[in-house]
Amino acid sequence: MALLEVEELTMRFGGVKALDGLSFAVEEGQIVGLIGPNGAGKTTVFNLISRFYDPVGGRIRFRGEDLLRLKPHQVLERGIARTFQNLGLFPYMTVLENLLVGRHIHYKAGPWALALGLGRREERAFRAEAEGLLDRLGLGPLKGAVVAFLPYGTRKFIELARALMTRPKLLLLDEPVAGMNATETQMMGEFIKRVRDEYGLTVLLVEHDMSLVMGICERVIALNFGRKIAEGAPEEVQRDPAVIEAYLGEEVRVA
Amino acid sequence: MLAQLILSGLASGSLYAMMAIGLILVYKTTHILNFGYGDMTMFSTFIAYMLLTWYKLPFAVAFFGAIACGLLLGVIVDRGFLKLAKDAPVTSLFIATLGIGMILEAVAGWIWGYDTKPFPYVIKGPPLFLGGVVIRRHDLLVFGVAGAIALLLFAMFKFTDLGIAMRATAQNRQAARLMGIDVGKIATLSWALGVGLGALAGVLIAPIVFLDLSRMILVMIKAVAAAVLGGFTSLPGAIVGGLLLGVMENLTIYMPAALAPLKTTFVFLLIIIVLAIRPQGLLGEPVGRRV
Amino acid sequence: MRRLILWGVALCLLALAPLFLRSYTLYILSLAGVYVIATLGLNLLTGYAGQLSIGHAGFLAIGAYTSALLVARLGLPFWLSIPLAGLLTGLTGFILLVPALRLTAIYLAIATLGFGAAVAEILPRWTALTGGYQGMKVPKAVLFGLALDSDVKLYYLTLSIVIVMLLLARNIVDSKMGRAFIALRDQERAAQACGISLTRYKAYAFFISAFYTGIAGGLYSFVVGYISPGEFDLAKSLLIFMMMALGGMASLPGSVLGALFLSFLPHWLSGFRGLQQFIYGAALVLVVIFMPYGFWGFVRRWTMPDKLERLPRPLRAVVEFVRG
Repeated sequence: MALLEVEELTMRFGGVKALDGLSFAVEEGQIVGLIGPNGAGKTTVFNLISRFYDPVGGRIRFRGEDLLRLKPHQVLERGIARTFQNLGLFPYMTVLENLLVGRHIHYKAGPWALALGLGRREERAFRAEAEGLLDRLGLGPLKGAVVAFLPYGTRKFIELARALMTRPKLLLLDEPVAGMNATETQMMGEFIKRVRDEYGLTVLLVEHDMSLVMGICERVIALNFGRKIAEGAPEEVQRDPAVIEAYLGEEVRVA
Repeated sequence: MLAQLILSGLASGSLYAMMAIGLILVYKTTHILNFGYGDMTMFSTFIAYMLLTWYKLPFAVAFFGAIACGLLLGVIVDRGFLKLAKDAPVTSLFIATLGIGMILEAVAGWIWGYDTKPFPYVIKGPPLFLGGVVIRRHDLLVFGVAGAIALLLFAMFKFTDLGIAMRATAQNRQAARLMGIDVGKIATLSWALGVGLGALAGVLIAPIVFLDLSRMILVMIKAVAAAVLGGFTSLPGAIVGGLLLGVMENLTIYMPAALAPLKTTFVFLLIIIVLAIRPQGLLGEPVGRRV
Repeated sequence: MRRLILWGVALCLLALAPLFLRSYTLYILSLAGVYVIATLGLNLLTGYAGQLSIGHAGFLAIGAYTSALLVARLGLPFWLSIPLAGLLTGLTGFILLVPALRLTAIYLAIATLGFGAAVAEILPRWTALTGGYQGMKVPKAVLFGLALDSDVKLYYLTLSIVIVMLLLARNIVDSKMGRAFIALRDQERAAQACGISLTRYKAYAFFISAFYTGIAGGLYSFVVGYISPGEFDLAKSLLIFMMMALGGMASLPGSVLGALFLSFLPHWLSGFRGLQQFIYGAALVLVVIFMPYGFWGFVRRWTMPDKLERLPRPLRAVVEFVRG
């Protein structure tokens, strides 16, 4: 059984069909890329998995469980963490605090205990863990910095670190290298691969940057107009005539 | 009886609507809830009162005196105070409007005293009868002015460059600025128009509720409620909300006698129920949910 | 370590204050303490969790009447009546949760305004319970046989409750709960994707905020000794809101400063007959103009390293000492 199964997923916004009977599956341990021109429905897939919208039709199953029965905040409890295209960091918190929000559901102390200050040990342990993760990313010195004042590329790494703090099984990355230069993109690619191996994760990512997709994805799913137009190994999908055609209109932008 | 209640409800509703539009004009372009509005209205209305009773000037002069005062107040509030608090959060600016209101109240107290004053009706004469329904002459004036204001504003927002610039600013301040619209000037104009409209409404309200330092604040609260009911970003919504609130208030007379003293509670409960069904108000733009 | 010394010194000063201050000043300080608690409550809700309220006088009233009635009618000891008033008021906070789950910003503000108006309207009419418009006398607070009948004793009572409430607030703000409030305020979707339940944390925020304000109300009734419905009107809701905004949104020390400032301002102005309202209004406007982010925002700004250079030497020394 695949880790994530999407079946016949259909979504409409007003009169516009964003997804049209989309089906695909993500096997455990893989890094899977979701590509397609702008407006193909990639982010919509993520937002449906995050339960921000209710689909018009179809099913999403994660480890066999029906995701559509969950509320948005319950998705993470099942082991699905995500990042956002335009960053979902909390701008007025420090880097460390942002990472600690990633640990939110792992705290054992209840509200009364927290008010009475009884959750300190747990808090210290998580803080140490977050600091360790930041150190490994080379971001240790920034732990006290307020996120709003940090450069964009750095924030992308912090958001990914926060997602890792949630101890996910599946990581959804929405354009992890958007706005990054070539060096940063390469670093991010290596980082994604490394955490996949170390944490035993599965990664589903949406990306326009083909160098990243070709570099790290083991399988690629191409969408256009809310439908799957190709699926397979990166090189195969890249050569697929339907994919090339879909991107033709975008050629100018890609170049 | 019912027709009578609805009609007089519509009359007070028109006044709420006018006040509400003044609030919304400011809110749409600046995102500030002007809680000094009641005091600004009170102050302008007192100008009309002074022109009328101290200097015995004709009504038309008093009318335009009040409006001029309102326009000027709006400009002073924006340019003289709020613009000085550069990039202050709107919660702070909201407090500033409260402070300005207090200052106006103090000044009005010095000039015009602290007691309640009767305010003359523009049109005097016995009420008219229309198929079993009594209409005060004053109500006819209210309907006329409110209708004219609604048409004027509609025309302004639809056809004039200024109105279009205001709409653009309300929709997206950043984009409006990039398009060469002087957003600061638009804000000042909105303040002038908003407070001026309050002054106009004040002169029409004062004969009904009389005039003192704090009464207009109660009217303002109702205007806020009307604005929210209609959707705080929509001018037609303000009209619908104002009229609905006026009628709803009058219809509370049908409530069981035991509940009658809880009129305000009941009206607010109705508003909350409406909002529960339509969180953005009756005609407001849907509350955007960005991902 | 320096922090600890500083807190120790501050506590000693506060504890010794009755030696230097007039009884009347102590009374105002106690009243200010009541508002500190209410402002903390509002700030947790509005500043941290982003839920606007201009109806908190309603919670203050519920807390005040509950504790007064528990002592006067049921003969409960006063030290029990205040936490009970807090809990009961906290539960009434869920009334506002219902609209808050659907409404945002100004629409929610109106719902809270309506709540305040409803409480102000119901209280005087529920004569059997509240004594109607003329209000009710609150029994003297008695703590284990010791009657808290002087301004000094009430000052100590208030001071200790304020300290406890401040500590609780600090714990909340520094915990995952405080972070969840801010997360939902600034990035609702991302917060949910981090596993934070919108409903649950809005419920916490409203309960905590109403609880704080209820405690403040309970304390208020014993400090003043007399309560009447007219005190808990829109003006009072706005007062608490001003204390929060002038002090600094989402800031605990800001709440303390804001509440102290607006509690003392009318008394500083009592010498200016006829000018009070004018100066009060002007003070609000001036604070907004010169400290757009409130008192605490101002303090924070001037203690930033780059600004610190420009401070006069003695002041700089103080700031540097505090920071350690």
